[in-house]
Amino acid sequence: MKNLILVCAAILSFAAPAPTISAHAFDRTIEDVREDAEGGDAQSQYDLGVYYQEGQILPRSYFEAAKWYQRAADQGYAEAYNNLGVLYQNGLGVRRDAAKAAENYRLAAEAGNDMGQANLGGMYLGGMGIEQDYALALEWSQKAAEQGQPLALHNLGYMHQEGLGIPKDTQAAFGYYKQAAEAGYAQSQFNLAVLFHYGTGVDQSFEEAAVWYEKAAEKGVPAAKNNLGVLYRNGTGVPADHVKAFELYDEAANLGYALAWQNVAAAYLNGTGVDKDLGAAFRAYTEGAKLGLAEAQYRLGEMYSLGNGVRQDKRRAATWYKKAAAQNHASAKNDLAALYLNGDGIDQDIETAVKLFEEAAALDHVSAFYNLGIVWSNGYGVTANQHQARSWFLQAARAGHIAAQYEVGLKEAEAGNTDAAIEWYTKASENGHGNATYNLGVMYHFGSGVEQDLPKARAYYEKGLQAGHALSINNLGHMYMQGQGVEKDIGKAKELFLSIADSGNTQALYNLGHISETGLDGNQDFASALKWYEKAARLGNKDSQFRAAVFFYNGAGTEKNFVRALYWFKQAALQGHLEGIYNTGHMYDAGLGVPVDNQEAVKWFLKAAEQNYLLALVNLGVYYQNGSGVEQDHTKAFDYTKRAADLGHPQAMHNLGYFYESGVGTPVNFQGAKTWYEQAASTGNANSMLRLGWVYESDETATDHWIAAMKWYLLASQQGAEVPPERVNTVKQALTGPDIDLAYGMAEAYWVENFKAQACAGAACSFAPKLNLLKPIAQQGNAS
Amino acid sequence: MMIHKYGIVIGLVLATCNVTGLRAQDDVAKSTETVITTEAVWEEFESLYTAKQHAKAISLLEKHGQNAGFSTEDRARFLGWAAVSCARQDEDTCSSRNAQAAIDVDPVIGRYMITQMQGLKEGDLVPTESFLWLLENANNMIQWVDVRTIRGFFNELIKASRTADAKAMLENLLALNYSGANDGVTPEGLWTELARLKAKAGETEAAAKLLVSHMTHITLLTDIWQDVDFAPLWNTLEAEGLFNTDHMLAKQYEKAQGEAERARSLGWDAWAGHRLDLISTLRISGDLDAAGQLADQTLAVIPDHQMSVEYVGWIKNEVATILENQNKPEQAIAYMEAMVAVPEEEKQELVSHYINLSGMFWQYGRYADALNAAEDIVENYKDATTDYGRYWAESARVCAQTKMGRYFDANKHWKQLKETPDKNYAATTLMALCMDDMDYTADLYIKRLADETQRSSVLTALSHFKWIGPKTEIFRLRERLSTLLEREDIQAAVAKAGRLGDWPFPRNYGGQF
Repeated sequence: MKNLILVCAAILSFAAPAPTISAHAFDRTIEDVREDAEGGDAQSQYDLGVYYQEGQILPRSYFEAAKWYQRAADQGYAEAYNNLGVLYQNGLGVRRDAAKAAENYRLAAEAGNDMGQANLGGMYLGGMGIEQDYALALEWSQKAAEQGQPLALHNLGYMHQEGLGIPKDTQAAFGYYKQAAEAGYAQSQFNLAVLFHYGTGVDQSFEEAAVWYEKAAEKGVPAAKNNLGVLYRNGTGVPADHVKAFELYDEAANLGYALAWQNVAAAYLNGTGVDKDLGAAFRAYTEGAKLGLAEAQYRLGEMYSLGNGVRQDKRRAATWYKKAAAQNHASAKNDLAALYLNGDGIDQDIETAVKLFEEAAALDHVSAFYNLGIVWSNGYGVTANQHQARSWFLQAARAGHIAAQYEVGLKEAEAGNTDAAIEWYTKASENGHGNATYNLGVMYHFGSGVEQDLPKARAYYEKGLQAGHALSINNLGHMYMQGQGVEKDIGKAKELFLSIADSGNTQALYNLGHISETGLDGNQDFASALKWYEKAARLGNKDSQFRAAVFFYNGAGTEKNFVRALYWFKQAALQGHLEGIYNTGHMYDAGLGVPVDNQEAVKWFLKAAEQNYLLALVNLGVYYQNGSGVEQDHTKAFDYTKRAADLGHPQAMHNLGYFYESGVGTPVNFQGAKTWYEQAASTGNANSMLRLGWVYESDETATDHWIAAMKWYLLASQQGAEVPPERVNTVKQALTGPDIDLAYGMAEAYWVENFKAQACAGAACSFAPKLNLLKPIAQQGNAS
Repeated sequence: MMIHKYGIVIGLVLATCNVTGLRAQDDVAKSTETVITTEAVWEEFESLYTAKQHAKAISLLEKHGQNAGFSTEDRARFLGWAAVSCARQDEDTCSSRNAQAAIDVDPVIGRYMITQMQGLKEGDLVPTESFLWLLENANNMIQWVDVRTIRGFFNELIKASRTADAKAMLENLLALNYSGANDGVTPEGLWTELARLKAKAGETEAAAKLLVSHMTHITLLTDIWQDVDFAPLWNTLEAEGLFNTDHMLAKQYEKAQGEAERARSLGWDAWAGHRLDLISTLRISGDLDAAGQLADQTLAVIPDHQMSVEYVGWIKNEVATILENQNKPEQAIAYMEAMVAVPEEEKQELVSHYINLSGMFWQYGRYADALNAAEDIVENYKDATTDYGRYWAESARVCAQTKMGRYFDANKHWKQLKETPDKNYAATTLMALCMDDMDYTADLYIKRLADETQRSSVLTALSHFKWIGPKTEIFRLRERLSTLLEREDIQAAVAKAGRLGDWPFPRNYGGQF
């Protein structure tokens, strides 16, 4: 927050003060003076004009003053010319007319009136009512100065200070100001103070500055009050006194001095010399802004934008930013651009936003450099260009913009320039950028571009811990949870996660849920796990949404609630959680908590299938085969099933076998059916074994097809399937006893090779299918 | 650190894999004839009827009603629906002819179709008789008839002074465990009427037993508490805890939960309807956060392709009410505005919600918006609006006009609307209050209190309920009702009709008068 605002320019005073002179002693009655004036006495006419102008002896009337000055002037009365000039210059009692003013000053000057000479010099200096002419300005001012006229001395000081018509000479300026100041001329006292304040044309001296500001201030110069306030605030040249500083600002402000309003506002904003009061700050900035001060307009916009001291109102913020920006205020341009970019309070206009950022950047506004980096990085209103983005970020980073240093670090890391990334991250980290510190931790934690260095990672995370950086704390907790770079300490991990549980760090909440769910801390608690998962889920953590859904689905730590399960599955799915996508489809498919909705189920299965999610592929095969929820399409049914089968899903293999067997999406192909059923059967799928039995039974072209059929029926039975008795009887009738023995042996051998180890799990078990293999009595004899 | 449990990921059991070994039928029946399916007939009918080609549409059904290629059930449906369509067009002869033809083709389906004519013609007992026939001869069909339709039969019988038949009908339904078509309305209202008849017939014990075992809905329970017909049961029901507020809310919630679960098999309409009941029960119980969450969850799991079902709109309406109750009226209005900010053709479907929005506008001081919306509804949504709905829109118009000082316009409308209060008693009363027509309000209440079908509504309107949320114009108008209660004529009418309650929960929906 800027709070030191000084006026350092000298003040150009063209006009002498309204004449206070009454050259002639008031030793007559006013009636006498009026009588003489009306009688044509020039001096009396002049005096009467002065009385009317001063408004002390007579009621103030500029019109009457002008009338009597004119009468005196008409008789060549020099002082009357000057005073008439003042009235014309200021439009008092006459129509404002600078040319007439200049002409009257000239007549006074030519008549040798020092004030007229000074004022004529001033008119030439400012080109007011007359063509600007520094040489004549110098000439007339010098003439007046020779007579000790303070205004002329002041203007000569100013001309020397600014080098107007003569070479710049601040020492000479100092000399003229000093003469005028010592003669009591307030504006010169102020300018002299400014020269002391900044050491211009004289050795810097805050003490001397304070002395002359004080004098000018006493004469009511608002800028002097303001600048003296600054000295009191900073304790330079005078003892620090914030209360006094504020009082001076306040006095200057109430005299209409715009910069002082700004200082009053800053004092209220910071609570310096006065109680902090955002509302009062807002009102003070409003005054300054109304007086056209760009900085005040900008600050006012900022207060509206942030809702400081006033209800947040981005539209009004934009209005004031626009006024300040029109005065080339860089921060206003930058902040206004941000509003345009986001469409915040005003219609979004990215083109204008970018233009304003560029204008602010041209004014060397560091945040604008950074924002242009953001613009180019994200392609706002321009085609994204990472090179350009990096260039702007770099410019801002070099100027000390911390976020830009971080961004440069990111860009370097993306480009694989690890050393440069570390360099910029380190700078940003040293400047307190939490994410930069965190990223350094992550790089060393996971060995991203650098050799893994867990102690270093831990050190960065601990730095983050000190700064309360949630991501760092979470990862530090993770290190404790995993025993990475530190001794495993679940209690410590939990403590760290808990410390950021209310910060909105969803990963920490998820981890707390995970610890409770798995009982890593020796205290498995599903209700607690669900509490953490749901908290993170509400904050949008998709993994937690999925876990919460699973808990509601299973009724773990809560009553089963399929609607809430679906709700969370769907929320996770909407964020791309693959299992969430599939399960959402599953809930609609099964009508869990909601009506069955095949159309919706298919929609989600198709989304999951885009990522080759096997179960979705299998189910889509079924849906397209049945034509429920989608238009029946056997080709698609076959294709989806084949994709899943090729990826090794046993059920898909079985289904594909069925499609080959039945000619779904493919011509009937027993060999294909056998191939896929056998692949599925090798995973233990009893249904596939049954189907194989049937296929072999039906395929009379296959060698020993009855024996093969019996083998698969036996295996199906062993795997727990109910083999229809009529099938067994049919096959038995086609086989001899030895054939049956052969089939039995083949089946047993297959079982021993593929399933025994898993089925018996180390215990004693045997091949014992539950099929009646006894042939009918009539045939038993044949078999033997 | 993800832990995936894939257990629940298991989805389908492949129904196509028939393990009995039966192969699919290879031979498909082939026919050279063009086969017209029932679906095709219905589609053509729909398209003709929607295009207002009613005669053609009815002829189509009549033609296929005689087509022996269809099953008798299908033919009876065609003819039955032809009868319904004729009745809708006020073509009595056509309706009677087709009704009889439908019964001739299939007596059960034919009569079932005729029940769908309920309410199309006042005093017509043909649909009622058909239902009574089904009840006696084919009671498996009655589960397909919804509660609202049966309520219509009941009302017709009562109007025709066939009280014994009405009572027998409800007793039979109860004996058959009629549970309602579960489309958002439970049959509790029917059992209330049965209990009323029993109580009036002196069967006090049976009536009380019926209510104790079946009543869960808080609105009906408050009706029973206040209606003089149930006075002989009050002590018993009180002793059974039926009028305990917590008990009432808990029972209603439990019932709604069960109904929502049961409704899953009936589709989104029914499911959403019961979920709405669940949400509003939570709201009136005072748990606004839980109600809001439940509403969010409900809306979130309804698939996009179902979002246009009617009850989704009502759930959204409930969300707006929750927001109001949470003292967020601006958000509530914005939510409703967003709901109706749809293309014109869709807006016709949402006209009820548009009407509610017009009411919200005037209640919260947006009089010009209320006026614009109400006039838009009255002028441009005639076809989509019933008289009942239109009266609510008119009430928003009249009340907004009085607030804007446009008394001449308000009075012009009011004079006309007050002539037919039976179109919507509540809205008419509301307008009367806005117009400060207190004598009219009192007279209307007295008249309604003397009417058995109306008195419950009036007793409810005059009872005191907890108010939650901003004190709207409705709140202020309801406060004015207390002045009415000081009138002796009102007090006498109330005493004759029952008693007034002071309930520690809000009315389910505000704005009733």
